[in-house]
Amino acid sequence: MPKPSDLLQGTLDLLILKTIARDPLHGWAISKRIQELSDDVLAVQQGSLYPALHRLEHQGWITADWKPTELGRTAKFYSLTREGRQQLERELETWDRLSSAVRLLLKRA
Amino acid sequence: MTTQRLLRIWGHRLRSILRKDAVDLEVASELAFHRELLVREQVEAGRSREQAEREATLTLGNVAALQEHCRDQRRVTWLHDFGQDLGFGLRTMRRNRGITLVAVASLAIGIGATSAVLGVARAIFFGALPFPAADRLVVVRAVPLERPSQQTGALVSEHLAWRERNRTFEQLGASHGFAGDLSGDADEPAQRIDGQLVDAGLFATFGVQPIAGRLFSERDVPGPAPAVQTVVISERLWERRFNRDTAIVGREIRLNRRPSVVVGVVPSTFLYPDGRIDYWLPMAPQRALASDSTRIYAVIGRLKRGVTARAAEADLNRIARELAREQPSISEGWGVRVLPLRTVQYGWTWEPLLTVGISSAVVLLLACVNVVGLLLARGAARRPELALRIALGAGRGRIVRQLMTESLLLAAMAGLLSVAVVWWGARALRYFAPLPGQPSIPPIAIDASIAGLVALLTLITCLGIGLVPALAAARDSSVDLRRHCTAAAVRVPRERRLRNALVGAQVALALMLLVGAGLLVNTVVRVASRDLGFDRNGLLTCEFQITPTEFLHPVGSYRGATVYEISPPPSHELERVLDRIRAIPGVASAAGISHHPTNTLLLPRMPLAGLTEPRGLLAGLPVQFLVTPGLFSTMRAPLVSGREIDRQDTEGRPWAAVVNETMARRFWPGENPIGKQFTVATLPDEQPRTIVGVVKDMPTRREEKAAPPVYYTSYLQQASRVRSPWGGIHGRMTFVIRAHGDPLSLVGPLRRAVAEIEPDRPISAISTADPGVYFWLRKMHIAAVSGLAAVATLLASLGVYGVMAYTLAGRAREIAIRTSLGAGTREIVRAIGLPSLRIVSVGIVAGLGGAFAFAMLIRSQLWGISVTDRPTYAAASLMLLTAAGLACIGPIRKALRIDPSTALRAD
Repeated sequence: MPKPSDLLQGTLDLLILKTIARDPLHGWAISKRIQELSDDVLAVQQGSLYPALHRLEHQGWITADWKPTELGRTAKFYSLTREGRQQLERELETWDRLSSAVRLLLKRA
Repeated sequence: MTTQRLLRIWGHRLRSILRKDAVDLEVASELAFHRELLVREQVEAGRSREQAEREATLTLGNVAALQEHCRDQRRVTWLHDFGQDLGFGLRTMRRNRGITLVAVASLAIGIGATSAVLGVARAIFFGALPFPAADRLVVVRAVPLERPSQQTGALVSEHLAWRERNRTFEQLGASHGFAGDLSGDADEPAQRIDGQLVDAGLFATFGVQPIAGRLFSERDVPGPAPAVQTVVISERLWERRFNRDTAIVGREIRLNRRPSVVVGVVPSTFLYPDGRIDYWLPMAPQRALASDSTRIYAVIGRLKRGVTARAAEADLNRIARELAREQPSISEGWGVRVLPLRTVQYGWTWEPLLTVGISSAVVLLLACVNVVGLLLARGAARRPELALRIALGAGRGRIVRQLMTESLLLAAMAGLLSVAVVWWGARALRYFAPLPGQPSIPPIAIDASIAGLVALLTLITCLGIGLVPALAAARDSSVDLRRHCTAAAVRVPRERRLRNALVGAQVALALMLLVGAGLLVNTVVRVASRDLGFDRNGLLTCEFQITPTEFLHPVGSYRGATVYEISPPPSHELERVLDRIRAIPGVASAAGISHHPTNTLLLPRMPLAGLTEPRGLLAGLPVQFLVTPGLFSTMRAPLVSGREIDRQDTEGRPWAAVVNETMARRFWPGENPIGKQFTVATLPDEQPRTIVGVVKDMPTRREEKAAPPVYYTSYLQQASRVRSPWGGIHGRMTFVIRAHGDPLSLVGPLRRAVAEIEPDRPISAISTADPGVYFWLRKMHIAAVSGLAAVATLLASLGVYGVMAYTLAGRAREIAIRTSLGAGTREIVRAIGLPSLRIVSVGIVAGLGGAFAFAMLIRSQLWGISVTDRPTYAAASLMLLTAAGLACIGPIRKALRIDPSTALRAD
């Protein structure tokens, strides 16, 4: 399983933005969702996840609300802001360009 | 970036700053929630609650570090950290008040003194001179092509030719120094004031605007018929003598016993050639042409826009070549030099500013090294604390930042304090004594550029004192915590070497300044206390003058130069004043001489006939003094042989002369000069003079190393006509008065006595012949260097103290063991004192080299002492050794008081 540091710089941001694009999630749920959706290939450690969340929040891409959870205590739910959505589009484009370039290279080289 | 996002970002930042605790709490609660879910997951997987808790703790890792990381994402942490570091730094400083005070004060002195010197130098060499477009002002001088170093003023004919034929100047003006007597009135006695004869171009060249009335125009130029003389006065004189009387323009004053009408007042910012000129008279260049034989006119010009001094020089040299053809008798062999006014007026400041500037920079460097030593020592003491903080999750960068904050705090406090030093320093620098005829340093305002300098130096200081300790701490913090928690680990050899080197450097720097100051102070003492060849105690001197125009009348010319008739001879008038002085109670004896015997810059030198001068240079020509009978006995100047000029040497008798030892040696080597004859070769009506005595050498200036050849003749035995620019000396007399008691008690009676019989002619330049204090004041920059050297010595001994105290703290156990094994006081002192002695010795050896370099740099300011004067070097080294020794006493005594049983149980 690759460590988060093996992920390309900026990829974690993309994963987080994409994961919460549909509905607001708290940190734990984000990490679980990433793990599930990647068939356990990607695991985001809390040591990277929370700093990343706070960074994105302070960059204005995502926003957070304290909401009650099924456990009975409140948790911090992150959701995309309008600018965050645009940022996600840009990051996706970049990612597509990058991954297709890499694929191309691997095929031709 | 959208406004909305911007608002959101700043909202977050503000909240992070203002509601920091709430935000931190949220992070904690968020992580706690995460942990709870982790535990639940484990429990659901079938672990016990306890196991699950442990597993969760392991997975989460260092929660404090994680929180710190989250905090870092807020982009405002630096502010919090900075605030925290600042608070921490202030607390540390308050705890080490003494050390902080010394560090801040010494840094402030270094920063302040260096900024003051740099600021003043900038203002002088690049700033605005008090004249409009001053960078186009140049001084024009004539130079003999054979000896280009001997620049002089210009002839009137040369000045006029330059003015009319040049292509490079907007304006040219000429002036000529002319001290005069302002007659007294009911309120004020007569006084001697400095003045100048100027042509109409002078004020125009400078672009001076009068603050009252007008300046000269062509109609002020005196014509052949006696007319009313017009005069322009200085603002200073206007204030001092006329109380800023608004009706000054048009008022009549008596100048040199001639009625003169004031037409204008020049502002005190007009500093040309210096700030001492009090009046200006118009000169008549066309009339001066008639007796145009001496280069006495100071010429100043304003270059046309874009013209360089070099181009102007080439232009004027072209005219000089024309003049050499047109009037070969006076202009052949002469060229022109054009120099920026700034260089001419303020070139003298270069040496003292450089000396004080280097001393200040050395003190700043020393203070930095000192503070680095202090911070390193503190860093070592704090290493366990730092290690603990790293273990608790502080990043390396965070530690460096914290230590840098402390340096910044120290530097900033020093920077603030240094503003006071700059203010005071810029004032003190103004008391640097200018060379004669040059202005003193103008007042320097503390403006933005000086503030910028202070800020820059403060920043450099901050980096200088902060980087080394911070990096050292960060590097050492990589070593593990356990080792750092023991006292022994505090002594890292590499760092000990560094700190020893720092102390050695401090000693070396201090020695450099001490030797420099020692050499300069020695110079002052030697100059002030040198044997002047007479008994200076109880002597008072003052000057008196009968204006040359009263007794010199041009009667024709001889060999191209004007001949003046002396009539009536002023000697009778002078003798009358001298007789009145002799009658003052308390005067033991009084005599007169044409110039101050030991404090005169320019002296008359006349070619002599009947002698073969070994080297025919102008500088080797003998100097002439006129004297009254009894001068040498009044001065108690010992005669080597023969007799002095006495009352028998009158007009009708054979002309007599007394020569000094140098003259006797140079012209009659190995012979007895008494009875030999020579003639002053200016006019045929000079008579041969017979040498009647030889007097001991007296330097004509204090700083002069060897006296020039001098001959003394009587005022009464002179030709009735003169043909030299020095005709005025017949009307000049410096009274030399020997008092029964304190010579200064005679000043009042002297003034009154002279004013009684000479209401229009004041005495001036009253002084004792022993101007020790006066000399010190003139050497202000030497006092400054001495003060800085004292600061340096203090700092270096503090550095020694610091390293000593620190070493001993680490060696308490060792000393305790030695004591309990029976070592006596002597062994212990040797064991702990020797290493320090070694450091200081190495520093002194290194410093001797630096001191020599500094001495070479200031060698032109030394007098009567060699750059390698061994006693000075030895005394300075001894002084530093003593200071270092004294600094060691405290720590050593503390070491001797160590109680072995306590010290051994300490860990």
